[in-house]
Amino acid sequence: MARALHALEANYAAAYVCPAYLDEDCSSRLPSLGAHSFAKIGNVIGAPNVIEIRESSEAGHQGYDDLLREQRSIRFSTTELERLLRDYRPTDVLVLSGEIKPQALGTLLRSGARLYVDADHDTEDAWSATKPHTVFCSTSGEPFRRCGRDPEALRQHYSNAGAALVVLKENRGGSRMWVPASDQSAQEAPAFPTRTEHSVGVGDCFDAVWITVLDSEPPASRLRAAAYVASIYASTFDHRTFVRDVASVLRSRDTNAAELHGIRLSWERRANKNIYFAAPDFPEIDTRLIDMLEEAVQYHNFRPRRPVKEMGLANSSMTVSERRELYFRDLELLESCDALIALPLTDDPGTFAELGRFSSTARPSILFDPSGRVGNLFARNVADRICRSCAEVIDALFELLGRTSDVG
Amino acid sequence: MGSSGSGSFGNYKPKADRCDDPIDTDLEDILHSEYHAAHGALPAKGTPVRLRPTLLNRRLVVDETKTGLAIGNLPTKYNYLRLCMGQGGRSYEGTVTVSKSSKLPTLEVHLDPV
Repeated sequence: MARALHALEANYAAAYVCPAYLDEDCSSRLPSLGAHSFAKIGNVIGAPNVIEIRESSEAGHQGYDDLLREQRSIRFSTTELERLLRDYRPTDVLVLSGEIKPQALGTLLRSGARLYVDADHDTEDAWSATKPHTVFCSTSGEPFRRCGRDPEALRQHYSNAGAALVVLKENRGGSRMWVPASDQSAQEAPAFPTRTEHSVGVGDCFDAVWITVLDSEPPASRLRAAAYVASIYASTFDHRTFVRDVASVLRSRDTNAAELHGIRLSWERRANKNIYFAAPDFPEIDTRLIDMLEEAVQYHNFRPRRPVKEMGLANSSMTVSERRELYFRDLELLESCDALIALPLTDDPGTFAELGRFSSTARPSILFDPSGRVGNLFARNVADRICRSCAEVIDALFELLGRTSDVG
Repeated sequence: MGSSGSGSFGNYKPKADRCDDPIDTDLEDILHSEYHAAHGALPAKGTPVRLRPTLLNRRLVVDETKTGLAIGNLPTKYNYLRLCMGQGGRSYEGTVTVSKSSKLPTLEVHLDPV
């Protein structure tokens, strides 16, 4: 969050919690990230406050593991929070929810500032009673999961909670915003494709841009601006590059976000996108890579199709006629799918045959070759994309399937 | 045994500037390009090309250098090049490296930062 606000040249103050061993680092770091003022409002005890991240690019589930969370406690200081609010007098307050205490909640509400809540890490639904101005959720977060991963259910939940605005971030597929109290349909905006280097804090970055863009801008423009800067954030680990690129966006006269083509592939639409897995998905093969990619594809709400799992495997006891029937069922499945991912874990001729057959239909195909072992010229040239990582496969899926799905 | 990473609180160590990386990529929508509309064919291998500094139909496009006609769209994952051109005054020039007019036509370019 601080990185994003720094790059946006925002006037902000930071209230944070941390363990004591990080006091000095936070005190020196926040001013270097442009914080006008700051206050430690909670001391983390019993845990290092370190989160292990299994998948930082969010190709699939990020696998956040909050170390020693069960033995952690936070001693909040409402005095420090009150002092900060009194001295800084914010017009807007963004809370990155998670284990916030009722006293702190009350202090924030009494400040009179407009309240924004990023509820993604809110395991207790603590904010429902506060009627925040804006609630940010993502398709990766707890509120969305609690609502059965149903956007309409999420909208209804926060409508009942009295939120004025609800923003749903849909990862690489774009975003939408509702005014729950009105009958208007959602305002939508695309995501802007990039080579995803990481996703840690990208949602916070989105929130920061939304809050700093003027209220007078139409919601769709605010969403586009937020998505555009968030894509810049996700495309680089280097903070200096991020700051430089955002400065360029801020300085340019034309509105970069409004001009660029984006990808809008909503959560609901993805559920209808069938992804064929061409792979040696056999009992004697180590299929963990297929399993991992299947999980990643499902995470983003696409529908993976594994023909061996669904249709079965030909075996020596089958008659010619039975084998042929199995072939036609596999072919029917292949031809019904919207995209194909080829995973040649071995030199399986079936994988390459399926890739070739599918590619001739001009639908998008991806060759997933993490080890770079595929040297066959046909295989490397018929696929629309050759990907070396799961993140690249997911980026390619959104880009290839979202080509006709731009909004605005 | 052994540890990796910076070992201290702070930023990632900066890598090389991506704006300085050359680009090798297939182009998109080549049969709907200005060049194809004008000539009814794809540019030949070796044709000098450059990245247009402005957008065309909301996409970054590659032009034939001689005529300024767009030969195809740059894949959207290269959108960051817009910022590289805007702020640092960089431009990108190169040539067509693959040109195939077949059932699945292909146009690949190589671009170097200038």
